[in-house]
Amino acid sequence: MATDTEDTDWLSTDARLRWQRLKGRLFVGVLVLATLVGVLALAALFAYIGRDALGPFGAEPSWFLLYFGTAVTPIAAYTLYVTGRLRWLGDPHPDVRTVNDTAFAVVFGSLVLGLVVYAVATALAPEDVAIYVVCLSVPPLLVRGYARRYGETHFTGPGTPVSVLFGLGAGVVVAVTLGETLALLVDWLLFLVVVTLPAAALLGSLAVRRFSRRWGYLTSAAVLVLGPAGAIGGIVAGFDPALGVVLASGVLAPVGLLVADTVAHRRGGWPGLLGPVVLIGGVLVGATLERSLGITGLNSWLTPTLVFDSWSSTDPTAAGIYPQLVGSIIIVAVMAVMSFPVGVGAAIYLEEYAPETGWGGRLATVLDVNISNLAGVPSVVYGLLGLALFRNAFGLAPGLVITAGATLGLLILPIVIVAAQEALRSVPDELRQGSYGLGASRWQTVRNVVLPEALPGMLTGTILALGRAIGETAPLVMIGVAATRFSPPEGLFSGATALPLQIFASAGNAIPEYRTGVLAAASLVLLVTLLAMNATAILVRNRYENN
Amino acid sequence: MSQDNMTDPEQSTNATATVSAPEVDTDESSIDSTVGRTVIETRDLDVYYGDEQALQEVSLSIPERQVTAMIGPSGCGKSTFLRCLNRMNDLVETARVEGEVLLNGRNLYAEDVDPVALRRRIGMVFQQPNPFPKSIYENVAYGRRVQNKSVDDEIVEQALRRAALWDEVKDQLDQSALELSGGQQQRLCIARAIAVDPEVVLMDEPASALDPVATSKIEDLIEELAEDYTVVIVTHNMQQAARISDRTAVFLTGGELVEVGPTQRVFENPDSDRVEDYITGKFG
Amino acid sequence: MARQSYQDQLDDLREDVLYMSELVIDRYRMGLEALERQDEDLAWRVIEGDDEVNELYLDLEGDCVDLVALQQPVASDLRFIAASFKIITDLERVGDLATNLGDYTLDATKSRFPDVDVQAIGDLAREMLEDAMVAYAEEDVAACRELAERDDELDRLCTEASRAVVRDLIERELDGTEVDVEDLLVDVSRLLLTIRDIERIGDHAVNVAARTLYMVENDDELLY
Repeated sequence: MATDTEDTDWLSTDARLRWQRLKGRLFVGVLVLATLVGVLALAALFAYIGRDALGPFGAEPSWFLLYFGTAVTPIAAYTLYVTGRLRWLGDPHPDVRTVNDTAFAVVFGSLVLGLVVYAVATALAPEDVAIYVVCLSVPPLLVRGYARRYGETHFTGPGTPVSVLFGLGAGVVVAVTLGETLALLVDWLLFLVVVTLPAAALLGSLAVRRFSRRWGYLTSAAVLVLGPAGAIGGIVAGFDPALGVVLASGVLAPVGLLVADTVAHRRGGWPGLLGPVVLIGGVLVGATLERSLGITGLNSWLTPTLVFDSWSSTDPTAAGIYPQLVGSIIIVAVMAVMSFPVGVGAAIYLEEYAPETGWGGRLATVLDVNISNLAGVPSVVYGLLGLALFRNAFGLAPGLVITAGATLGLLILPIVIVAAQEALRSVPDELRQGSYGLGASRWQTVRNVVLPEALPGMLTGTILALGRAIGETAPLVMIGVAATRFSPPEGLFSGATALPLQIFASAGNAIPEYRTGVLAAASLVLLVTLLAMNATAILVRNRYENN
Repeated sequence: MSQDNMTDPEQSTNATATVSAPEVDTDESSIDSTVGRTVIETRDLDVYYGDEQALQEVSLSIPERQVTAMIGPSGCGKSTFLRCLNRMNDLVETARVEGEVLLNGRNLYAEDVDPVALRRRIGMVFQQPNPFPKSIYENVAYGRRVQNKSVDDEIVEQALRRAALWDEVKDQLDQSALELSGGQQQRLCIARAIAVDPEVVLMDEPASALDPVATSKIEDLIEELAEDYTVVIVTHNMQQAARISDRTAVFLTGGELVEVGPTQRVFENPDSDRVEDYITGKFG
Repeated sequence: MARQSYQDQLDDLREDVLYMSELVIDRYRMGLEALERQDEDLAWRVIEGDDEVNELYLDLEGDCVDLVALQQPVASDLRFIAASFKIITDLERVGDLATNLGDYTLDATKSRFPDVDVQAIGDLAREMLEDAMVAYAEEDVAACRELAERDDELDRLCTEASRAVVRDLIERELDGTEVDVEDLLVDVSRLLLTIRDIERIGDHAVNVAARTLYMVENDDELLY
């Protein structure tokens, strides 16, 4: 039956539709321009900083060629292969992608984590860190072990946080009494406690889950052996044995477990393991060749000196920001410890427990609105608050780590609360109803159903807030944090030091290289740190969304 | 299910003569129609959401180990009524409940009754399947864990068998419950509700979000469940009520209980003209 | 299987219909036997047994209504229930006709027509009904169609028998044989009614077959 070809002219575009389509396209164009403004401004900033910090125009063309050949090309080719775009090499095994992602995460994650732990623990006094690691982990583990063995949940539930507090107190006592004695011990022995023991426990339990009980014990034993081996290696090779312990048991061990796991469970994906090797290997080969062939590299201010040495106000090439970097990291840690529990607690109360009607309801609404307002308060005002509260009211000395951490913690507290509230709101109400329908109390519902569901969102929000706060300068100035210190802080009550302050200070230095080169390089370091934190937040979010 | 006509003491809205003593209907032949012991009874139940009245003096008895269905047009209060039985309405701040709901003779709205304890004897399955984002095993075990009851593989298996789901998931108990199909998720919700061994299972339109095949499975399941549990089900699908229930209560707009009685009588020869009009579709 | 209890109810209905048919056929056979042997006790039993048949009929009618109201049958299930409903009506009528045989037995004074083999015709009708019920139970459409043809044979035999009775009567008259008019009247009318009833039973058997054919194949060919 042929279709009636009566009057179907109305199907074609007429002038009206064409004009509408044009209007649509113009609109899209304007939006794209608006987006580009933001993107281009940022790109210009990065280009400017990059030029100042890295000095790319100082390098020979052959330098670029060298690294293009040894680093860029291999990794690009490898990526193309992994994503299945190199047809003539064949399609990669489906597991390659996952193994590759995991490999990069494990290698670089453990590297970064290990180095941060090493830097912070060395700064703070390894014996103290060791003491607290033991005191804060052993009591809860005992409690949980008891719970699992005897199937008891009534008392062991609240018992866990209580045991942590107990551990804290015990830690303080032990630190005061035994601190000096333990300080006499060689550093790397203490790092065995700080890194090797937890690594052995964690990797062992992972191995139990992925393989079997027996393999779990073997893995733990292997890690325990790697620790001292790393120390010996460090002594032999001439670098800090403590670093050797960290690298061996904190980086090598997880990588080893990953390789074993891949071979056992995802054998087809073994090419994925090569990713980090290709990248790091390429860079190393390039660096070696650069040195041996004598090619002039970048005229970069981002040098190991910058990252690992301490400051010099007179010689730009000797200026380093290591203490400030460690200081910032310590402040972030203090911020996190202070703001996360408090913020999450407040959010849970406002979302789950606060009444909706009556006087209680009105109070809750007032609180809610004001917390959102607090998020917009200028950071300088928080500095003032820190000044009034910690310096004047508590009588603490100016510019302590704990003051800085607390002040910035208060700064991000409203943001954490709002993020946590959003995360809690995103938990569908049907889950709560389902839990109540099964005879659970509100507390049980929050703890077993709502919190686990909302936790990734809360973590993401907190990490993003921390990332924002790491660059806050004004409050730190207000509470009197010194701009330049020559060693990282030693404890909570020692003088703080932070990267943004140093950046600010170097902007006022008479010598021009400080204002261009060092400033740019330090800013770059700060940006990279920030990027790393944001990337972690995104990874956390993605991982839990896919689960 | 051949049930003969019989006089039922609770037909009109305002009857308050329902007593908690066991009801035995006098009739000639069929054994199925004997109404057993009353498990739940409401007396003059009024529910208000703020100023709006959702239920009007509802008095109704629910016999044990039978399927009692509530039908009626949208917004007639049947879900509200269901949620009164396990005090889920307590979670709604604007809800006000007057009257009595008796479980085995004890008023559930008395001062000394703990709603959390109550919900451990009266379970609930909701319209949208709402499994927790945990493993299948943990979903079934959840109710028992929060009630401090023992959990072992056998109990979980039994619950899943009773919910006609064991064969389909026995090899994937560790997998996330969210990977199951809609019908399977709903049966999982039923499994976790019966894992705590309740006396009564309340179901709020349990099959309305499912396709016909899954619906059919749920209906068969409900008929089996009635051998061990008392089932109270709200459904907007009259034919479903006709198929699976032993007794039917008809609510009409405004929260009024218009008629209640054996399903066969309500659908073949209802006492009330309004019920007749509703059932024949002459008005919504 | 899904909807198991519903399936069970359908199966129960079929079983009950077959049971009713057995009951009715049994009554009919007893009626024929009572007529043959002039057994008044047997005749009474047949007459009193009609109550049981009627009660069963009402029960099954209620079952069919319940199934429609409560289970919403469609397609073949619905045709099955509708067919069963009509078939039990036919069976109930056969039950009534069997009772008539009992009545005739009680009314009879003597049987005088050796040329007319009522028993044979009656057996033929009984076989037809039995076969029709078997066709219903087994959903055998070939048997249904074949049954319709046998009814032609039965009708022919009945017509012949009736003619034989009337011819005999007329010949007797022409013979001039001494007869008791009253007795003769009762006998003849009784016999003619019996033959007519047997033919009716054959028709009911065809109805059963027709309904069965409709139920299985949605074919109303035999339903005139």
